[in-house]
Amino acid sequence: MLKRSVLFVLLLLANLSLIAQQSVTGVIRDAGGQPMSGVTVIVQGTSVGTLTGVDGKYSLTVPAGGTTLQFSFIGFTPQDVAISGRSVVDVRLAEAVTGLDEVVVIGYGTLKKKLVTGATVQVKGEDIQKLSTMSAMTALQGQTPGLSIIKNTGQPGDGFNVNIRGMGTIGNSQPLYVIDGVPSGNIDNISPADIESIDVLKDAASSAIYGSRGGNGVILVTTKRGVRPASGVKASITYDGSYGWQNLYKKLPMMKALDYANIIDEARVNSGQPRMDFASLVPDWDKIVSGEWTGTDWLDELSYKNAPVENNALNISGGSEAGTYSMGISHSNQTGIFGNPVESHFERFTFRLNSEYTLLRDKSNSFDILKAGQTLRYMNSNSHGVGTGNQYWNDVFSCMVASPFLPMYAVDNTDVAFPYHYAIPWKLNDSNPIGNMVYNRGLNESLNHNLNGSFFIDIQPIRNLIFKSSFGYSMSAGSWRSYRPVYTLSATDFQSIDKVSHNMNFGYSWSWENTLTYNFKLGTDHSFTALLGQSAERNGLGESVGGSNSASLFADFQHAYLQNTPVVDVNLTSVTSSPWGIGGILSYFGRLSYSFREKYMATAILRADASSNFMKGNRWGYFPSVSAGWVISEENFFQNMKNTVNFLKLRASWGQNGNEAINAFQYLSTISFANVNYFYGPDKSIVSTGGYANILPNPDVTWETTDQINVGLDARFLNNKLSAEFDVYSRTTFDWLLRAPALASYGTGAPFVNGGDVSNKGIELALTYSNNAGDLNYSASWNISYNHNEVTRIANAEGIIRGATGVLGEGTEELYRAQVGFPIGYFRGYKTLGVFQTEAEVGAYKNSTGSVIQPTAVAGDLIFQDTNDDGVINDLDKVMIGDPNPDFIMGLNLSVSYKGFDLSLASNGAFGQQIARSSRRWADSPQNNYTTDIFDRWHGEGSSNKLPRLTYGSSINWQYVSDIFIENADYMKISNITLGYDLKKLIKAIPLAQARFFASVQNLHTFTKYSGMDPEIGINNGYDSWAKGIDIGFYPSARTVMLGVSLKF
Amino acid sequence: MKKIFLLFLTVALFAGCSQSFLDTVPLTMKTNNDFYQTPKDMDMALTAAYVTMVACPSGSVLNSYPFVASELMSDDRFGGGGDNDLDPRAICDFKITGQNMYLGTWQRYYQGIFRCNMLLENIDKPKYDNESQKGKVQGEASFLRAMFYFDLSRMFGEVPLVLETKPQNLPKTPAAQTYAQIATDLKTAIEKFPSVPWAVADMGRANKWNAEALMARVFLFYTGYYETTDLPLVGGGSITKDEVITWLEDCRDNSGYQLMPEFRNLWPYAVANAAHSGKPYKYTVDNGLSWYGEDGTNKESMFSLNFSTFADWSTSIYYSNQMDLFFGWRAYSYKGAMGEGWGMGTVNKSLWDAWPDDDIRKRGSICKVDDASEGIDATYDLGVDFHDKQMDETGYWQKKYRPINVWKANSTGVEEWHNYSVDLYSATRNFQLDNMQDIILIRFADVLLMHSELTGTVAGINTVRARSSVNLPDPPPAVTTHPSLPDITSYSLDALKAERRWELAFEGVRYYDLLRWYGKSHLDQLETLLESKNGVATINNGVPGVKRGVLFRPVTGGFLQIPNQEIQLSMGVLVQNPGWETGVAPTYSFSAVK
Repeated sequence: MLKRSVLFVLLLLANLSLIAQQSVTGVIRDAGGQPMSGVTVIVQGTSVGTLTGVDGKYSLTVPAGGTTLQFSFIGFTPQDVAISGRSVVDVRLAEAVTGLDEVVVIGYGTLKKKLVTGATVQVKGEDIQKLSTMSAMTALQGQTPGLSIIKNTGQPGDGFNVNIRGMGTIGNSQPLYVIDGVPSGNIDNISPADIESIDVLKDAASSAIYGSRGGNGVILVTTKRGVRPASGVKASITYDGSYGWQNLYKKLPMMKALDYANIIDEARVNSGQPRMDFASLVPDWDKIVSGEWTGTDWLDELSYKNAPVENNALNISGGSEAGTYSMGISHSNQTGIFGNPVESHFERFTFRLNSEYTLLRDKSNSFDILKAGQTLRYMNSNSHGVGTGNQYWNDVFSCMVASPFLPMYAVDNTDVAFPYHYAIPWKLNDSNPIGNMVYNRGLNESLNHNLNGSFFIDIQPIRNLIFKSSFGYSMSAGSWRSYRPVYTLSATDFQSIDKVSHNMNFGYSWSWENTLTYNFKLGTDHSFTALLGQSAERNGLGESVGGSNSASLFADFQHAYLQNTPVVDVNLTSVTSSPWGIGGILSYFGRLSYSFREKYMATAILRADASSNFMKGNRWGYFPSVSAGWVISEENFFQNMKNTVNFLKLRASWGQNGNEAINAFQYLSTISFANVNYFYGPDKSIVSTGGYANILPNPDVTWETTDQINVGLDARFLNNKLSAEFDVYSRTTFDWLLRAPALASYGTGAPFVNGGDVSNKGIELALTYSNNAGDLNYSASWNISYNHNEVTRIANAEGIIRGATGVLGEGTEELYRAQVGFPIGYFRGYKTLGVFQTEAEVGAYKNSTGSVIQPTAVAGDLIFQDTNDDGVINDLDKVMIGDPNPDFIMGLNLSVSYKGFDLSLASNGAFGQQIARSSRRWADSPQNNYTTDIFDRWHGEGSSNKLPRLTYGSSINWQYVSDIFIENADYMKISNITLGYDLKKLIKAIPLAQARFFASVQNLHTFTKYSGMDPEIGINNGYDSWAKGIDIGFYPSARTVMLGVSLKF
Repeated sequence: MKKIFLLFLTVALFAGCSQSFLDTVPLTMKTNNDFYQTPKDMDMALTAAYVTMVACPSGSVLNSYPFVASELMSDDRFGGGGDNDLDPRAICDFKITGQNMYLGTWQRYYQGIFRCNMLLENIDKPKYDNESQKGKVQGEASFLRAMFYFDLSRMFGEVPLVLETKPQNLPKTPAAQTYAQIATDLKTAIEKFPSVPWAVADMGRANKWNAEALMARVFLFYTGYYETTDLPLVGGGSITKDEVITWLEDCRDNSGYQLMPEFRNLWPYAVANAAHSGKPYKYTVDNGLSWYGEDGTNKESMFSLNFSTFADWSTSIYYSNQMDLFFGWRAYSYKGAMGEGWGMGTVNKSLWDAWPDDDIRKRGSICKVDDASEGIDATYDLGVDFHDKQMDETGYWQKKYRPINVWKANSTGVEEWHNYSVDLYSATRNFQLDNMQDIILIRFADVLLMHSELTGTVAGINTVRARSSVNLPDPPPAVTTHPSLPDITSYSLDALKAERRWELAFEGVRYYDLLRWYGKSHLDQLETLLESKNGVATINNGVPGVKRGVLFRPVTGGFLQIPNQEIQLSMGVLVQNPGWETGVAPTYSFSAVK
């Protein structure tokens, strides 16, 4: 077969070389007759091309053999025009309505959208940048069905919780990010302005080419490439800048001082305790009674008004016959809305340079024999933040629960807590939460550097046979520094010794990939693309060092370096250094794609991966996939329907992927020396270190395998104005890697085992409608996806992986768990049936055998459901009371443009999920403040059938994990609305291709009945990584008003 | 094409060395292939076993640490703690708060056993300098394993006897078999340990004398509770009372341990004198006390859990004594030598009432907050609910194990209240982490009392009673103001019982003493004694009332619930203790108004 193809190519070459070169010029206009700049013009079958200038003009030399010009521009239908011997070719481009001919990235290659057989979605960089967000992930929200992107918190620089088609594991369930072909951790360190496109590979067949790491889906990011500009123009330059003001969208309504006092007394009376003598415990009590002072609103004190956010990006691209380049520089700066006076803050610089050079052309100058290129991205960020962890490490929570009686500031500097107010007699160990934040979590800074680069060569010895070798390098370095001063805020909240901490880490990884691609045709109808590849990767080549010490000579954050703490003290000085943990992956892969007249398509993929995480013999995993597509609308029998259904394609795929993300060395019985020190003899400062076997080795541990079937339909209606994409999938994770609880009597840690199955089944639908009426262009796209998540096997006798306790309040029982038959992380607790209104109701609440179920209850207590009808309320009565996984996620995007104006709206939402919310520590802290929700408590017959009576101290009403803490959290967010105007349309004389000014509002409105500050909660508060939907003091996303400009030269 | 073949050759070469490319080694951990190779490795392995022991009195495990549980379940004390601390009060009431209340204890003890099993499996691997070095390792590992199983057996009754490191799903082992293993391990330890007097440098490590003393304790518990005469050995044979007496006498005469002259100087409150504190503790000053400390001066402490200054919140809180914090009172507004804590284990007034006033150990062990000898001022706020939700408050606190503060200038020269450890050991001031008192598990007085009990003689009892007047060291201590108690003339079990109660009060032995004195067939009488705690006046969160809810059920044998998770994971191989099955076990919940 190879022989035949070579012969075929030779014949072709011989044929082409007979034709001479020629020069072509022309002007490209849009449907309205306006010249279009930046249109790509390429001689078909070659890499010769150019861009149109400001006046829409282009000019290029068509090499011998070039017969057709291809004109393309984002958002417009590309056109192929035969030159037919002309020297002037003028073209009008129509706005694209189908997108079928767009090229999408599929991993180690690209493919025309029309030919795609798997489930993939592409989002253009332009669409991302238009939204002026700090992170590309924010802009991706709501853009694609099946992709759930939840911001961890609104704290600047915080990341995202991303799941493609539901959670497949309680281990690492985040997708694989591949940036310019190099696997990377995430895309938070890329400026949105640098992104050309993002492709999301959702089904197994699409991500199978990434084998062992494709199990949670793959996100492919392509950064901007250079294009040869039109003759006479040296480069294309764009500048985008925006500046915005952020404010809290919704504040939790905290109780004011007098209401708080009344509620406290009510709780005390209910508990048989005397009323409080507020006058003796609270400063300025008379002012509170008179209404002159309503107490401190700590959330107000914590908030910043009009916190600034700023983005600037400059991109330059260009090139010549010899090569192309694209470079960009950007700066972003964001202050958080919470954290006053220390402000949470994130600042990022990025720099990018991508270039590609033709080193050798073939004799006929029709294709490149040898190309070389590189990509390079550098990112530098600095940030600092406040605590967003559990109830003991969360500054939002601290401000929610702090007493409104405590003044923020000291009266004068005789207060030992100056400038803050010392704790008041009302509660002598409740300290000023802002002061505590500043001292303990406020004085810190993180610095991060990322350098990612690759070098590649393409060798095309004969046409369409391309060998590519690419070496990728990724470096990251960071440091974290903090200072905790000596301070006094209350009887129990003080530090008599300061602390300087400084940690640094540095490391890198590299990968080397070699692929061989061959495109060939058999006859005119059978097209093939074959890919063979190999890659080797090494990661974790890094080290961390750190230390902490005390007695700083300067006693401030600015000078918080260990050199300034010269005294070494065995009790206070600590140092550490450790390696990152080297790992490696070795892979071979192949792909064969076939298309018959672009009507029938099929692709088969096989990838073999070996990971160092497993023992010899269990290292290799094999990940096959097959997929097929049938463009029904190309069939003869379909032709009479083609006026109604312009295009119809059926896709089906099956494949397997893996997940290898576990701790290394689970196959060895490792000896740990961590935290096993003991102290023999008379001197308490002499340490002896111990060592013990910390896991039961599991030599059999291997891949987690994800098996997925996908069936999809793509269709176009109404003269291609309406497009629809529909997918149904079933994704099962087998041999789920988990650390299942084992018998404690084994005596040491359980290793990872391949011990469970998880099923995700779902449906996705995306509809896009675009049309125009004269100069008015408008489009709407809507997508929705449904996913059902269920754990189907856990390999221990219980079938349970337990979650954390004490989440909703001090001493509360387990809130969430993974269990066979339930979704991952479901909320488990007591179902309540209302509130006992009278004593008679308590006596009447009996099980089927007539025993009173809650004999010790009184009117106002919660009625707990006796699920098993045994007459007592205990653990056996707990049921699923909520599911943090949404049933549906949805996105709706609208855009309208008229002449120079453009208006767009982006929205996204999630439905069917619940959030567990608690605003207090309850039991051990009766003096915690309340939100005004508590006005709806039971306080007499008929006053409430939802919230129970208050007590001063513990009671099962508030201490049991029950559905009173669970809320439906359906939401729909208008995440962005932007109005822009291109001044160029008005003033033609501006020496720019575009001068667009815009105003936008981000996070404009959230439609929800959820009572917390923000229903979009991605953080796990330091609990298990798979815990979701827990609101115990949340740092919400800000509402941002933004002004900006986009200039093109 | 040649080029391509060349490149593929490169690729193939890569594949050839793929195995070494993927081979990695752990850089911060050893593996079982390169550990347990030298005597030093063995010592590190031993240290890891000691650490499980010291980690037990911390975190959620602290409540059910046998020392603590024995106190809370005994007739001497209540659960106490804050409103939200259900576990200590549930333990006091013999109830559960959840299905896995004792999982932490179970886990830690089996971790300790695993580490000892690993040691003993590898005992022959290293090259030792001499036999006695090996004997010491073997002795320590055997002693620790025996202690872990003894604690587990006292708490849970019959437990799976795991003697290998390979994972096994085992049913409960009959008590006789487990105790035979404990006795055999202790006998091994006694025989393997070098027979030399204790050394200060080895404080915290087990030695021959500890093994002899623990053997007596095991013998007394096993023969008492299970109502037999001998303690069985593995492979037949048994240990007789006479052998135990011989070992105790060996310990008494040859160990180098001895009673210290002043009982009250054994406890850290004795440090709060004028020499150490600008505002000294009245009781300490009035009685001229001065703490013996923990530098080896105290020859009475035979085996202790040692604590240090290195505690850290996130990783190693158990390097500090969390039990002291647990037993400190919740009176945060009170400033004085008695430091604050979590308020558990309040003392039953009936103990105070029963204790003769002429016994210096009474006020030497109990702080009655309104007793004139204490000098506790009104800021203690006895019975005021503002007192941070103190439950089971009685006004009586034990003072052997609790936070003790001194008034002293800190490093910046400011006078302040802080734990004595800040001065003595340069600890960082942090009331949750700066308690560093060692927990004495075996005290020489116990050896003397066990000897009296086993021999039916008065010598041991009288030595303990008369410690102030006999065998005074030279030179004598500065002040010993109290008269010695009169000798008893003839031995009786009642006299012995009383003596143990006074001498060893609050030292983690009372409940187990009661269990063995009653025996498994007379637990109904123990029920009467323990449930007499109901009705004692207590104050909960400022609301005066009486103690209710102690529910000792003889069907349980006096043992606790096995964690249900363990029952389920065993797939029914392990069976729940009687009376503790799901649905049968009584649940402790928040106090209702009714």
